Amino acid sequence: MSRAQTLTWALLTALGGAGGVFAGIALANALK
Amino acid sequence: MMFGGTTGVTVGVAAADGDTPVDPVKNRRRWYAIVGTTIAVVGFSAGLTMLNIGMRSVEKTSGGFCASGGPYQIANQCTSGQTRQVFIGVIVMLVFGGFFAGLTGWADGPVLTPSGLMWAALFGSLGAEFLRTGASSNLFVGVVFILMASAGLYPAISSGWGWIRRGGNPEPEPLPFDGKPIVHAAVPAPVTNAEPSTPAPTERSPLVPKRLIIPPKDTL
Repeated sequence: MSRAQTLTWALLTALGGAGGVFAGIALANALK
Repeated sequence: MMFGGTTGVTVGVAAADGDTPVDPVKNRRRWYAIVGTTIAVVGFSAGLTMLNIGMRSVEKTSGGFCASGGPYQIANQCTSGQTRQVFIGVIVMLVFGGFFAGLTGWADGPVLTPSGLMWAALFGSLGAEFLRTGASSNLFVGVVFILMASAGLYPAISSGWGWIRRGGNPEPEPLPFDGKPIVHAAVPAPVTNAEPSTPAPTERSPLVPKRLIIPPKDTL
């Protein structure tokens, strides 16, 4: 991968991981 | 950095950090994979969070164990919410984790390292959860889970160490295969009608080893 692709991937993965935590909390509350 | 490469027309594709041109098909595939892995990591993270919330609920309400159904009278019944959180969390986590690893492999990326990290995230978070509750029955499970999680970090540590040793440079390309065979068949030399360079032996050599030739009885 080029450097731009690596940086984009790292940024989106970090943001996605953090966003997934909030999505998981929301889903868990909905399933409670 | 430019990227692209459409059918018919190839948009100029060049790596930002290198002068070597990049295969436009591979380049486009990598961008698709980046988008796909972002979706996958959101799903994996959400599933893992749901699983942890469900397990925490089980830890708090029933000491880490609950059951439902069966012929026995169960002291700690699982609530329907706990069941949904844990089961849906596990399924979502596995599906999106597999999606992530598959997309990474499709884009020629490493599969073992992210899979190991997902493994470490799963067992590390659950192990920490078990240890955090402090119940003696969960202590052993928590320690085992932390040990299992640390094993999943090995590919990432190994590849990270390799990256440091290379000074941040990419891995060397494998040696090109030049088509020459590595193993040759042991084909005997062709027989020619020319005179042999060495004279033929005048005495026939025995066909069996000497130690197997039994001497006649009268010589004993």
